Amino acid sequence: MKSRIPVVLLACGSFNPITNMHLRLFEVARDHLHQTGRYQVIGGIISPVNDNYGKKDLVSARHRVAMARLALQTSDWIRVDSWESEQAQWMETVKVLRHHHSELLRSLPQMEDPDQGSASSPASTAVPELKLLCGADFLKTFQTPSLWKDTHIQEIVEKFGLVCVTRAGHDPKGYVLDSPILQRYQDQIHLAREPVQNEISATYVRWALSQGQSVKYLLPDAVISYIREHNLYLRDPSPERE
Amino acid sequence: MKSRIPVVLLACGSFNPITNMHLRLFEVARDHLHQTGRYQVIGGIISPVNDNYGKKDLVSARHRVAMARLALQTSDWIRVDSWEKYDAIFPAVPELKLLCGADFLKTFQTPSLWKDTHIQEIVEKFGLVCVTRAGHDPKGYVLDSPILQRYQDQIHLAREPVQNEISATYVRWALSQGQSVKYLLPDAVISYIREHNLYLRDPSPERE
Repeated sequence: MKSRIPVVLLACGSFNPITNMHLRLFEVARDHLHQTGRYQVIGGIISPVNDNYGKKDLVSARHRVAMARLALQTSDWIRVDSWESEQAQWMETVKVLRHHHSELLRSLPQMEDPDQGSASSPASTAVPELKLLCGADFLKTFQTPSLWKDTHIQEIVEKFGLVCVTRAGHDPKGYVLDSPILQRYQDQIHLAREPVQNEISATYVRWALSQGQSVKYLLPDAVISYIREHNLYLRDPSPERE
Repeated sequence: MKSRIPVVLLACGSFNPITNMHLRLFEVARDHLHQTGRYQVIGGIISPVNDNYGKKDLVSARHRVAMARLALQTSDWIRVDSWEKYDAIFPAVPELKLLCGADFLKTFQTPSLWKDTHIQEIVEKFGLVCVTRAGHDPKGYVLDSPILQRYQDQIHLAREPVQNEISATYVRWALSQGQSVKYLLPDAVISYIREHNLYLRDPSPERE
């Protein structure tokens, strides 16, 4: 029986703050890949963006990483990584992928006995693949002229692969077919569907907090407590929508 | 200064199982009533329907109540409980309002589903707080019904901007397929479902 390819899912974003929707992306993506029969998801990484990204209302990375850590306390397979947020400047997604991929390779157990041969090696020593986890809105940004370098898009889909979780109302297949690069590598683009209409937007959460309204059940309780303790998101957010 | 009217929100339903969406209804409704300046929400009640309601795939009330109790562990104002407890406590008699979603409001239109006298009593004597999301037209449902239109002052329409349609039907299906429902329900409820082997069988194809 052909063994499954181990996969780690990487999600980049503001996580400003992290919400239950972000966390759902991982769960849905994992189930989807498992159902193909070809993959075994062995881990997930949340990588909050660097403060120098310059987005309005972006609270300090220190807080965003801390909140993600709290949110992931009850997860046994997803973790937060602060490497991207600790760099001196903002970096492109493809660079974050390259970094985590090389970390992944470095953490593999060494093959001590070269005489073992491939016939007896278990699936766990197969090289894990690192895939970028995203929503349909992210996939759509590939269409925006000059937002992405074509070479980067190509590297992301060719060398790593995408897992895109969408809901009713989006047309991810259409986005893929509209782009020559994406179309060429469509086998590397997994489209998972989340039947639950679950659009807990962090933008809305920040607004609700600034209005003193409840965000309970939209984010983990531990994250809400943190926000309260540190007085985050109290000011009216800027009117630009993210 | 005129004091606020104390209100208790009552949600009836299958809660099969309870989800984060059910819990959100309470939070949104409370914020909405507070913003009117006229009400003070002093409590919330979740009332799971009786087993004899006869709905397919309805797990025992014992479980549904237990799961709701677990889900409400972190809430300081909502409980699975009876209305009678509030009677003697407060100087001003709290108003009991029925909390629902737009789909519930729409059922008033279904001929012969409701007795007109019951619809009237619900809106006239108690009042409704209806939490809806984009895509529904609760104002339209109200205006389409003579009874609802007459008592529209008793019908509060709260809007939840978050598209949050965590349907218990979907949750049951996902569980029967061995798929994750984490972050759709409180962790304590998921643990309970696993311990008691609930929702393992393929649910019946009829949609609720």
